[in-house]
Amino acid sequence: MVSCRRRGPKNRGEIIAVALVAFLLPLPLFAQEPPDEELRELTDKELLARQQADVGPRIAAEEPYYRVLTMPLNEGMSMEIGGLLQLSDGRIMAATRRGEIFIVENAFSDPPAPVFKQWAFGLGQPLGLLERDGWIYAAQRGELTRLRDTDGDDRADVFETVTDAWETSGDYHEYVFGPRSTPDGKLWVTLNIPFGDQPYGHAPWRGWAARVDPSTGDTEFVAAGLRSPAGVEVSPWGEVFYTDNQGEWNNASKLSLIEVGDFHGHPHGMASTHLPESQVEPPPEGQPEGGTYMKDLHELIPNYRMPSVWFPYVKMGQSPSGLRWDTTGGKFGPFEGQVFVGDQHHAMVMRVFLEKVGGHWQGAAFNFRRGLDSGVIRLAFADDGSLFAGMSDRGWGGVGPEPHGLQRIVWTGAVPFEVHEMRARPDGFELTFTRAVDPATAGDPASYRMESYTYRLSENYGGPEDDKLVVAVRSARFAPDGLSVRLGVEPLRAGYVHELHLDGVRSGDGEPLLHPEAYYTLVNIPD
Amino acid sequence: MQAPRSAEIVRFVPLICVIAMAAPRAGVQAQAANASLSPPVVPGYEHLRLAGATDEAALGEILLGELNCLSCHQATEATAKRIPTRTPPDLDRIGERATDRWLVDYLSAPHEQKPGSTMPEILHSLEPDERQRVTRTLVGYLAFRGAGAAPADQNAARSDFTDGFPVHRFRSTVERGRRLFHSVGCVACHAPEGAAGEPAIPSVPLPDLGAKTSVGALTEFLLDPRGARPSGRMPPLHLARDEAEDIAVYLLRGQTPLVVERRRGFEFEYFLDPEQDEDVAGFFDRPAPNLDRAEPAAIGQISTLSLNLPAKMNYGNHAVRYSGLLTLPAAGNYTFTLSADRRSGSTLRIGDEVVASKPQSSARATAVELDLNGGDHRVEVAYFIRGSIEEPFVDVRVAGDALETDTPLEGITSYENVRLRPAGAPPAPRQWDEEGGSALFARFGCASCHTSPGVDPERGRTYAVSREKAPDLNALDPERVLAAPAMHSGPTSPRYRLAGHQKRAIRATLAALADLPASRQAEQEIVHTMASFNCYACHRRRTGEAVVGGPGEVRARYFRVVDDQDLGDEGRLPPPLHGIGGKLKPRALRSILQGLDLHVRRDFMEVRMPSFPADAVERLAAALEIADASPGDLVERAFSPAASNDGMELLGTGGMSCVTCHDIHTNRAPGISTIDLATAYDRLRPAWVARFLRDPATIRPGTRMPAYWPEGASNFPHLGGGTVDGQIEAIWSFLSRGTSMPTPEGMDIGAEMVLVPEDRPLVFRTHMIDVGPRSIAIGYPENVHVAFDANTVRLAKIWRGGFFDAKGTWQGRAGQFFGPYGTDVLNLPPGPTLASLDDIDTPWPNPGRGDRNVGGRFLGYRLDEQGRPVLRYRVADILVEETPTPLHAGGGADLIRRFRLAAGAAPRPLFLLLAEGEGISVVPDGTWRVDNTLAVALESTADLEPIVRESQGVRQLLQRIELEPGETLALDVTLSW
Repeated sequence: MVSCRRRGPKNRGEIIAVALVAFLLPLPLFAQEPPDEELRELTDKELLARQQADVGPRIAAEEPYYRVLTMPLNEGMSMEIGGLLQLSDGRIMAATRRGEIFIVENAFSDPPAPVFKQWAFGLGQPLGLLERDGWIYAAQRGELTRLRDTDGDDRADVFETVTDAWETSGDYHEYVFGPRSTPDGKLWVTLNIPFGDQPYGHAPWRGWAARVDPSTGDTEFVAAGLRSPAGVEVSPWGEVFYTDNQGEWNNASKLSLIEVGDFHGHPHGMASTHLPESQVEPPPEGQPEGGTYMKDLHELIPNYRMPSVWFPYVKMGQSPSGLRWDTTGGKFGPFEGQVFVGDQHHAMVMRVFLEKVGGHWQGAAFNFRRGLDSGVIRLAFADDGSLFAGMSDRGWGGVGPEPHGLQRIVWTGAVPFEVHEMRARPDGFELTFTRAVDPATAGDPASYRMESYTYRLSENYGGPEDDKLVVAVRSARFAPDGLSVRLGVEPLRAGYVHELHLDGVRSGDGEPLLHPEAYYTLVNIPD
Repeated sequence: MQAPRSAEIVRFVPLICVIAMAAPRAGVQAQAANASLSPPVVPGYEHLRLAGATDEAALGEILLGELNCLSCHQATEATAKRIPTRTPPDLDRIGERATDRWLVDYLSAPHEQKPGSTMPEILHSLEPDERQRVTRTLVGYLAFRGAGAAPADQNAARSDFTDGFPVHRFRSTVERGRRLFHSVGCVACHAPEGAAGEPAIPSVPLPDLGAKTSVGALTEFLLDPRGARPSGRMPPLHLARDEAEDIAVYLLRGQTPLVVERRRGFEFEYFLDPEQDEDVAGFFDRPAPNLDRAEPAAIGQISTLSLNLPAKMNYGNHAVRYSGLLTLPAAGNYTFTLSADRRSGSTLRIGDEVVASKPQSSARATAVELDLNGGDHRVEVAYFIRGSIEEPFVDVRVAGDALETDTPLEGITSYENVRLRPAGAPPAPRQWDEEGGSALFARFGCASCHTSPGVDPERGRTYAVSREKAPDLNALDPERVLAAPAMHSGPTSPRYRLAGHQKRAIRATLAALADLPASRQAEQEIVHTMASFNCYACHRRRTGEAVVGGPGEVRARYFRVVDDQDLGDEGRLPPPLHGIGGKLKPRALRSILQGLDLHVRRDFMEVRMPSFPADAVERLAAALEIADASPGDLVERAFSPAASNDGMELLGTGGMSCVTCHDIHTNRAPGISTIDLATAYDRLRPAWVARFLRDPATIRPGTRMPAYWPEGASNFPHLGGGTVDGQIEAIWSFLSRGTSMPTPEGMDIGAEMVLVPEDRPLVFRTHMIDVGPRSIAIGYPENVHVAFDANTVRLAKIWRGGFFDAKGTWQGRAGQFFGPYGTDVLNLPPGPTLASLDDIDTPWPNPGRGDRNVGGRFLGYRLDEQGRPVLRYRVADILVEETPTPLHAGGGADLIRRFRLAAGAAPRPLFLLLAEGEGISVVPDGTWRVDNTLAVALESTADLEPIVRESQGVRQLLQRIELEPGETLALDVTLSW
């Protein structure tokens, strides 16, 4: 019986005994739980248990650098946020999974004293918001809609259908994310695949990215093979990236560039590649056989797109969602130009550094800020450089104490001691730090530990870290700028995640790293 | 129980014979036997006698009607009109519901088989051999008449006389049936089982049902008694099929149970947790859910412990129970190993004991060692899961000395069916002689009452044995009638076994016959009809000085309040019918008696109001109106929104708190739950409501309904002008909103996520059942609501009352789909609202659920000043704006579909599909009526003329629209239903 999965079982005894948060086997949003492989499941469980065991001190260590402010909600309000932005008039707007859109006034006071105004009601699970040309665009399940308040009473009164080019069968998992606007004026949305046995029939274009001309509603279906593409964003240089949730045929969560003609691995949408409107070449051999390494898939599927970053399961969240580039010009701290990615299960925000190597965007993922109230679905930078996080864990569960909410992450001005950037080099990696490092520890190869692994594409629910090897850190050359280190490692394997632990590294003033781990997805080795 | 009773009678008769040996003539012997047998039971007549009715002629009329005297005795037109014959049982399909054996026995001696029967004995004067021959021929004729020949295998036709039941369900079925039989109203007329005392009114006899019929046939009969007995004296009690089956099994519980088969495998029951929200602790939370208390969503049989059930299964939380008989080869020590997927929990029960269980969230198998006897053991495997998992499984292995290792449970488990078979040996083969049968059917007068194809009822009027033609009633000499020693008492005449008082009453009627006009006075007609249909079994009504009817002490004990709510007799006994014609509106009176839409179940009362045939209902209703009502009772004042608002406040907990006891459509009262106020307007005459509100106890002595203005003063001077009249008017004004009434303060709306449009309309995107995955549900404060299908571009549904439960959209992963939360759901025809047709014969487009923009391109909506959405779409180069607009109407708001059309540069002709149905006609005011349920009125800036067409087996009401470039058109379509 193939069917939808619900949240993992509650085993109260265990929860009380280990004093963990609500769920031991929680599931990511828009993704599913791991298969019943006892061994692997225990590993994940142990990992999570270990993570959560010292989560308190780790959150406490993050506090001095990034404060999390909680917006108190009105009685009975459901703030399950699926869309979030700052309006051009400075106010915050949030769309909820229940279909309401709120305007949040006074969101920047400290302590927070927000005023919520219901701007619209009754939309069909809006999971994205965009302001453009006086309209608010929102992706609903069945259509892309734009809304406007024509009489200035802070309530939308015009609801226009921009496009309904995709069909909705009715399966609960047919979410629509977006839209995001590219420099050519087009709007991008990503379409979730259904889950289970599709009792309401099969709708085409599921697991696709679509591109819409908002002036005509013309809709192109441009990329296939997506699974649960819960976050979509346009980079500062105009390219479209998205996050996808691990599960069957997407065996590790990822951040990926998405371009017209791409195939991203999940076979659900493959049937639609044969429709005349498809802009994706069907894979010549059809669905790839389960078990092929993803790094080798381009041999079978020329338009297969390797991800930019894999997020190893549990270690880097379990369900990546909304993402935003830091374009605050330093108002949010030292990470200008990097990507912040929410995680729905871990109630956390991750950080990603990207570089282009051999024509491919790749890079490293880092922990950034844990301990948010609930599963993070949407992030939005405000003009003051603070980062708003919209949250909900309904239907999947997560580690946060609240079912939903709106929080604001504010940089305190203190610079945490972090790996700032991690770049691939022909023989290893170059690390830069946010603060001056201690030459003795940073220059000692024994301060580092590395291993590498990769993933297969298979029908299994999530994949194990496969073909794992210990990577020897042969050398650690400390640079004269006092901020960077060049690691020589062996072997360096293209197509593998290189997981680096820097437990021995200290800052100039003797502090350990705030987050002493990094996960570099090495698709290409630079020349 | 029936069988012992008839056996007793059979034993008793020879004894009488011995005592009567000395009697010289057979006639005396027969008369002596008479004394032990009941006279025909006519309960309504008995009610009148018990109430001390002295008008013997009126009593006799009831007997003449109920005993069907006018079927043989012809009468003048006036008499025949006054005393209509009671349509006898339809024998067309008697062979399917009665066994040959029983038919033979019954025809041979009806009153011995069914003491108190109203059917006369016909064949009593025949010699036993001759009687045998005649009855067999008649039975053969009844079973196969018109067929031309008997089927080659006569017994094949009897194979449906066994009915299968899974064995473990049988006993609980009998118990449920017993409870239903004694609660829904059966014992108002029939004998209760083990009653403490003899009811004052004799019970309507039942035949030996165990010998007569089968569970299947009796179930069908109980569901629709009028199919077999069109007289309506046995009325339908609105039983659900499983209730009828339960009662049938109870009544036939004495039949011979037969295990006819054992099959390898299990019976299964599939349970669905009504709470699909993983955060709510349901019964799946507990380690061993009590499935005995849950209602299975599906049952069936399956050969293995597969979770792929041959049943419609659903996502989410569910449980499966497999049960069967485990057969062990010998006594010994056995090890059972229970395993199941990690997510689920499961239990293994052997006999009455749970011997092993696997908790949730553990993949560990559980093994148990047991010393068990050889032979059969009841075994049950229960599996329950919260959520679901990729490869669910449950498995039980059995090991033991006498078994091969690792035997799967399913290899040694079987289930059995109990089948019930009518008692007694199979009858002798039928005499097959169609012509002879037909002749006998006519000759013995069967045909005078029971019609049969090809048999002239006239022939029956001469009764064959006595060779006497039944005399015309009006020709009887009153003097002679009064003087005659007995009716039908000759040795060869049909024998009714009338009691002395029955004969006296009939004589009184016959004596008065010449003076009786064709119709009765209203009150007499009411008494006659209520007695004929035994309305008196449940209801009392004052007639003159006397009060007739009611269940009486013995039977009244079986009338109960549901769940023992504190409602006193008012909650358990059907209401008295004093003045009922002045209480109910004409349509309501008829609808209730016929069991139609205004038949409001009193959900707190166990007993059910049955329904009655239309012609009798009309006679009774007309008489009740003459006797009880006055025309002024129906006068209404104009609806006033202000008064209605005051009324709402008065009904709420801030006022008179009516809603603590009264339901309002789907909303249950928080306290005891009594009659739905949303039906008041359609049912009640305003003048009666005013009288009742002023002084409930006078109209309904003993009622729990309090008087609110005991001193003529109100506690709420700011409402309804502070006067009694003003407040009653305000209440009535509010009640006139019917199913569209909003819920007053203090009313529980029943579900946490129900959307209530209070001040402004709510526009809610969701997935609705029967509408589609892209539904826009719109709820209006006027409590008429619509659903628009944005895919097809059509208004799909309209309803009243509650709006919509958002739970399916807002809870968990939001995969549950709901229909309207309210009542009075009107489904508009499938397909788009507007379409271009090639010609008038082109079928209306019928798109699939995923097809989009069939009826034009959906453009979205804008909200007008009142927040009402204006739905916008473009079709055939015409911009259409459709604004559904509520309109107040008594009993529930109507809806206006306001269309505003604006043609572009190149508009094409269009059709607007207004309605669809089997019957569409226009009434003088220009309104179109559809299937007597919907009225459609058009108003337009243009001169429009709808057309009716037949298409694909239905009739459609279409309006053709043809616009010039740039032209506009306003069109309002009002829907009333």
